[in-house]
Amino acid sequence: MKTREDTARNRLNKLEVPIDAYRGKGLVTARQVGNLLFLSGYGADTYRQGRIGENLTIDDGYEACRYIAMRHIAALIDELGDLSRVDELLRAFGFINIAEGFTELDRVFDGYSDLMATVFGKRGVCPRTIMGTHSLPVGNTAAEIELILSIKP
Amino acid sequence: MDIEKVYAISDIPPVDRRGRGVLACRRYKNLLFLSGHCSQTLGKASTQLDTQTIYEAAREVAFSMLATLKDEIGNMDRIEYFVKALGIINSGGEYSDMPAAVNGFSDTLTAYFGSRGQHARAAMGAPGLPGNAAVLADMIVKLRE
Repeated sequence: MKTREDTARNRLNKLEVPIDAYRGKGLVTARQVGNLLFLSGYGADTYRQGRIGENLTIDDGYEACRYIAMRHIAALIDELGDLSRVDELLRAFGFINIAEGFTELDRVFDGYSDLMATVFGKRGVCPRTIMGTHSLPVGNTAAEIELILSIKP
Repeated sequence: MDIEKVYAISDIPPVDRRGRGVLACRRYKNLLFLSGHCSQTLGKASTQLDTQTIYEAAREVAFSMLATLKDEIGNMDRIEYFVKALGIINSGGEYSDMPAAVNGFSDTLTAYFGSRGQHARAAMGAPGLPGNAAVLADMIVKLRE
């Protein structure tokens, strides 16, 4: 007997949508539009897991954000081949995994901003938007950050 | 658009971010990316603040952002239109009235810029914001050629 699921699958097959080929692959490291580069949200993964103000300290959060900056820089090297192609950082958006009542999100995110400023100088200092959250991927990693930047033609 | 009028009805001082490793805004061609601006009003929706209070807090954010824009571009007529805003409300529990609260931000822009002040927008809640601000919003602005 056909289940409803099967019928949907049959219809999908008739459409010849290559859905299996793209399952879990909708995500790319970066997308380029002209000289704009959009980087995916990168997390601190297993480097720091948990909530700042609960099992993690501000220093842990700072280190987690610093780690994400390194991941972004690694992604930029993969994408551009050469960091000298980075023009200016335009917008960083960070999610910080926090305990209820924790408010010093700026000090945590400084881990990201400080490293970017160290590596890229004035071009690495950028506008930022920071928010707290109570849950993030990869075993509740401590932070996740996405980035928009401009690159040299 | 007369920014002095904005100042006249607002006692919100511009936020000085210099020396903090953060930029208030950065320009790429005709796009201006603005940092998240926080309200001076502190606290959390639902448990501490009602929607009207947060609406007013969102107005503060708009004024703070306009002050940043004024500092950056001088003449506000250089703004062609506002492109995209993200408004985040410090909230918990069952609170879900974020769009009504973020309207305080959007209404302020349309009050001064008319249709040029309209923008694509996302409104969301977060369980924590920097310094326990009630509202945070950022923006992408399009400047004239």
